[in-house]
Amino acid sequence: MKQKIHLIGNAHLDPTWLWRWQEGCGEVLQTFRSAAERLREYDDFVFTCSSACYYKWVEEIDPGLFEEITQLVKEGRWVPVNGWWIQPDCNMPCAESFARQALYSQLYYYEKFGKICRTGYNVDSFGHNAMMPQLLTRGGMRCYVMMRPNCRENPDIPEDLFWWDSADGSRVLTYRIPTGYAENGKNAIDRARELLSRKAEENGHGMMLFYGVGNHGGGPTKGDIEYIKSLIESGCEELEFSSPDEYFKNVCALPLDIPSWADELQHHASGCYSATSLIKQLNRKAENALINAEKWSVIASALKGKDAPREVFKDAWLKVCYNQFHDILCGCSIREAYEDASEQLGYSLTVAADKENEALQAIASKIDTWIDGVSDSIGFSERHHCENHRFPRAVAVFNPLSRPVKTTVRTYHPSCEVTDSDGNQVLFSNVRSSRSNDSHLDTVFEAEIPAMGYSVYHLRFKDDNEITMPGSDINAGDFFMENSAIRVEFSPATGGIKSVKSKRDGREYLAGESFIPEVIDNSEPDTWAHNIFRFDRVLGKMKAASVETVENSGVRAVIRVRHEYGNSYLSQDYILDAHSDYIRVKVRILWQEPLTMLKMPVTIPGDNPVSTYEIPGGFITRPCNGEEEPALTWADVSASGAGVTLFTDSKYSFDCPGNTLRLTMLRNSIFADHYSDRPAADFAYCDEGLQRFEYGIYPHTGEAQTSDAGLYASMLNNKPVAMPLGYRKGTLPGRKSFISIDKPNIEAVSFKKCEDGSGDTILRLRETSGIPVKAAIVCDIVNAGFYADFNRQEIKTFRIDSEGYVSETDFLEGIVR
Amino acid sequence: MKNSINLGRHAIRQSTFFSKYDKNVPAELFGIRNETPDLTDFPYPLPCKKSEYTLCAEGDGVVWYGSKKGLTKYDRKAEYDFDRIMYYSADRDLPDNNVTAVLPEGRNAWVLTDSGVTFIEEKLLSPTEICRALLDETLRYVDRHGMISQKRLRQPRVLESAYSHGHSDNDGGFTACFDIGEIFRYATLKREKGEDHPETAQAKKVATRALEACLLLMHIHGRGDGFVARTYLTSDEPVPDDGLFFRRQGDYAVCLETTYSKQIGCAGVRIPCTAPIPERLRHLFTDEGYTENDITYKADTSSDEITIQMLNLLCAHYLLTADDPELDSIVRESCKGIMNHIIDNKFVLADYSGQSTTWAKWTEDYFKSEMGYVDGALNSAELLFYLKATMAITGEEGKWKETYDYLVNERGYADMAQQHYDRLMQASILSGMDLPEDIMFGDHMLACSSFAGLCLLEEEEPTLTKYRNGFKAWRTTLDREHNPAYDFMYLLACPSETVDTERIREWFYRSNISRIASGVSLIGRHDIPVKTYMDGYRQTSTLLPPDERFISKYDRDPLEYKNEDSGGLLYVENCYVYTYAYWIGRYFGFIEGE
Repeated sequence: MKQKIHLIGNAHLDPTWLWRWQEGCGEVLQTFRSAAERLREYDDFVFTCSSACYYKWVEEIDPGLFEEITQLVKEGRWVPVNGWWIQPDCNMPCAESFARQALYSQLYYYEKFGKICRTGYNVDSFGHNAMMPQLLTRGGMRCYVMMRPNCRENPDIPEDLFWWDSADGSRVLTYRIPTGYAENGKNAIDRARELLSRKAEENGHGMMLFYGVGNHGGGPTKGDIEYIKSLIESGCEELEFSSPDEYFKNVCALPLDIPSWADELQHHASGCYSATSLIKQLNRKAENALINAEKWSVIASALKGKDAPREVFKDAWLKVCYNQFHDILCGCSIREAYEDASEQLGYSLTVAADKENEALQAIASKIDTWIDGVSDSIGFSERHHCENHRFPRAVAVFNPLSRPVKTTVRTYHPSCEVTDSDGNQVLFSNVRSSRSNDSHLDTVFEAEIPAMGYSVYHLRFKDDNEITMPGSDINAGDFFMENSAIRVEFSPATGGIKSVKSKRDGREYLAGESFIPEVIDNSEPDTWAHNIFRFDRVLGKMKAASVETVENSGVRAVIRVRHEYGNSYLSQDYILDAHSDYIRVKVRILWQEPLTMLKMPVTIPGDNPVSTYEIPGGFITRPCNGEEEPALTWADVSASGAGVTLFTDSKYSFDCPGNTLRLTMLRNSIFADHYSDRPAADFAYCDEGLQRFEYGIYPHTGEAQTSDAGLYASMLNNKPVAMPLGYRKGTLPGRKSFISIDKPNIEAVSFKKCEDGSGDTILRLRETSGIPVKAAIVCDIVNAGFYADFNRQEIKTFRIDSEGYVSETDFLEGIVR
Repeated sequence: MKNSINLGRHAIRQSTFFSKYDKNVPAELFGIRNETPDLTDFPYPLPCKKSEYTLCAEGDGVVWYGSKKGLTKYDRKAEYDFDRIMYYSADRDLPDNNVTAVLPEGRNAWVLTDSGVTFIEEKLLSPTEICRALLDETLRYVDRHGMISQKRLRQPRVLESAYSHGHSDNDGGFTACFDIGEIFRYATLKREKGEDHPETAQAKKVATRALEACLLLMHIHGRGDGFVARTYLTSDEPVPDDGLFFRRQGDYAVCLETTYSKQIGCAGVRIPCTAPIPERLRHLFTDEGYTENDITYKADTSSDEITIQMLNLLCAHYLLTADDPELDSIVRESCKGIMNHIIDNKFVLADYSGQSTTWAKWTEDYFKSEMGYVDGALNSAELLFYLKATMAITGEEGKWKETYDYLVNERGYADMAQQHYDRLMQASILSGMDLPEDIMFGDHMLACSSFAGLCLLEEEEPTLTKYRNGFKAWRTTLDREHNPAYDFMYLLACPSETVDTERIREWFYRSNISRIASGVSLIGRHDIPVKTYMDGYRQTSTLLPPDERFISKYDRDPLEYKNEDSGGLLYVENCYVYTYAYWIGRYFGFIEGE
């Protein structure tokens, strides 16, 4: 008997791409109407469609059609797949975003259709990170359909059907579409059928043929359906109208001998990791802002004894989820689409800011900051909160991370003394502010803040007491800066860094001059960089215009380097904080060079380099072969027991040819330039203009994943929030942590309220170093203290009830299984 | 040595129960006024809710917290994380959970609860001393005709109330596990203390008796065809309505009437039993005054039994019987008998009718069946292991090698042996269950035995690599058990791999010094998350130390969320769970000598 060819009638829908979302929505409505009609016309036809967002649109705009679809879903003829909001890019969203993609979508499917999706389905996404098996299974999906990269782009990945494993042992049965996701017309269907029939017989298992007009929707046409029916009627018994769910059940019911794969699925569109910096930055900011706001909301609500907001966060997250659609986050949609994305993500950021502020104010209002005599003050200098000469002003600094941090904090006024809540003097400096009135000075002080908690500091505007500052280890001069951990030397000629040396053991971390920005030719690749995996044609290096030491204070040193190229400039403030073992770099770029890329290289000494990258929920090591690679907040190159990590607050693209790691700062392609011949026009470029971001340089010994690379990257992306306090009698002490985790490789990813309205709390944790561990977690604010075992790079979700009893769930929070 | 661990003396916890009126109980216990604890900002997870703790008492470096749900000890200066917080609960550690007073005595404490008094103490013991205590308990209370499985008690926790009878379905397998541990003890002591040392001699005696008991099951049925019985009963032991039993009556054995025998239509069936039992083994029942006609044996033997028995024969041949030619000859002949039986019956264990038993099938047809598909990866490895072991034990190749080569090269058995995780996942997806619900935890010991054996015996690289891959395919599910025995077997097979030695330390340092079943109060613990799977099955999110979880053999999910020991409250289990792991670790150097 011939192996089955499962015919998957579908309509690939890009809700935003070469059109804006409103057109995408219309396309969804039209396609769904058409599919419902086809289902009425043909009894055996089955229609498959992904993305909860589309169903939600239809539900809201055309309830009658939605009702019809609901009935068809119950009959098993309309098959929703992919328990995610859209088909996202599968490299750049953080793990929490994948959790939300699943959470909101699967709950929606369950609520509307009485079941969740068991098959993940991202047929168009441009590469798939190595954590996907875990991210899918945690969201209720154990089978997966993907297509890119194809066998030409990466012949090493198993063809067709394989087991895909992630580091924690999670596994999904994966089908890699060998043809296309939208075959239509007799000839295309015939070609696909022949190829798949041959493969099915060779492989000994069934295959799937995806047919239907796609991209701008459409779906299976009458002609296609009738042609397929005629084939079946004429004796092609191997053909069967089916769905991915049915296909996977079918292959699992028979003996199966297929390969397994324990790596990522890359590369397809390597230019997409860097194209359109704006959307990348917005995505990162929105993700972190919402995660942090939720954490503080839970804590504040517990302190107040009230439930924390959920719906508003859900709405805000859904905007993030939508804009992670692969053609949006990958920077390859039309320019106008990014105006929409900015507005939508602006909403998410506004929600996050509002809710975070509300929560922090609530927490702050309970902190005891009272000073006897403060209410007796009568004059301006004693009533003015910031310029109070008699009493120090209290500032609470909040750290959203689940590890304690030591970092510098800026407030917008000068000070002459800073003390902690125990009255100890704290290292500080008054530094140039961004404003140009008043004193022109801000205070920067060294703060130590407990895990997911706060510390109160007291800043005195003027003090009569003698100031005894704790010792500073900062020293800077012409073209160098140092502290007790590292010494950094700059080249005035190139503006690069000549040396980063450990002060502890004298180790030199660099092999030659690094951090001289390179301009790369990007004229050949389209926006996606189809079929191009390395960006190595250097047009030139940016020229150093100036190198100057702009700060050498107790708390930090700052060296400003300005580079120029053509009509563009790059200004970087290299900041070394006291007692710190990494360098922060504040970047301002004005870029006006069409069809170029800008890369920032660092080269390390040593043999057999290994490059390691953060990926959603984990990390991965990759060969140092110069291919452009996606990463989240950090990337690293290490060799001979030491290395350098680069971490950023908004970038996602790196390459690592040999011992050199290069951060891709921007990629200035034409918007949505899809294999085009570029007919003359006044093109808009996706990275043209001014952008500001930060990155960090962390020299370390050992492996990146067991170093502090992840912590520093998190700190850069989730800076402490300083909040001035009034003088109040409160119940909370001057320093408090709301979580304690006894293992450094366990990190709290998310702390939120359960979506079922029960009032339960969700705490999501992950293992960060690739080392299995048993951890003790104490979270008194929700009455919980518990132990949990973690496998390598495992993400675990815990649900905590009002009594502090804990159950382990998954992304679906134990609401549905 | 990589992956090796030094295990010195360590405080092992022990509870002794007293009545309230026992003269040994200090009177101060009844008059003490314990303080109410302030647990605000207590830095570690606690087994009960903070608000449930009603009293506390400070001893020498330790603080005791009492509640209605048991007792917690906080060791401020514990050297290891796993010793910092300990939970004592009914029924294992306390007669009931309502703690009303605690009187510290150094690092120990007297504890008053509703129904009695408990003295909780730390005993500084080395793992060898723990092995000794456990072995003593097992030999005194668990041994049944030389078989070492478990014994039912008439009264909870009263060892002297043990029934003399009571069998287990897997008496053979459990006795073999016990024996393997004792064989490695003997070999270790022989190496370290010499053959003539009294401890060595005792170890040899114990191992030899258990080996004889195992071998007897290969002959007790009198079939003479290499069949292996699950267990046997003597005439004064009741026959339970549980499986397939044959009573020997002269030259025949008659199938007794049980629900199962009636169901399959074999009640009353007679089969010949004329093959003699080797005199060296007969003594196990004749010394107790029984003859062949007093014997009822249990059939329908599974592959589990054969696998552990084979590993035991292999260990015995190499480490125990070298200077006991009579016994070694029985080992070799018995091994050949089993192997011939399996080959002659086309890779099944044949029961009374010549048909295969329910669970001892190593055929391709079985592996293709719905039921046998998932078993295929394990069972194919088992059969290859039997053949390799037989070659090693007999020193012969011939038919064994011929069959082995045929299975490896022509029937793809070594390839199939790599597919455990694939097939398990496939079945799990098909059933719509979560993975742990589809795992047979008893298979873990079988996989470790087969793959460790294969990896040690196979020398040809491509095939060895397949076996190592096969073993690795079990690691995802094995890893979370943190069973040192599995870890050691894995390291023997795959020397370049690593295991978590600190979890091994925790396992040895946090085991009880008795195997009396009594249960713990796991359900409702505040510090242990619960995970509920698709079909309602529940696990803990963390593996508890052995002294705070239910007692079982190597055949249960140690993460299972339940209070009861696997035999219920009226059992004493055998010691192999500890001794097997320890002596394998010692013999191969994973545990450094004391």
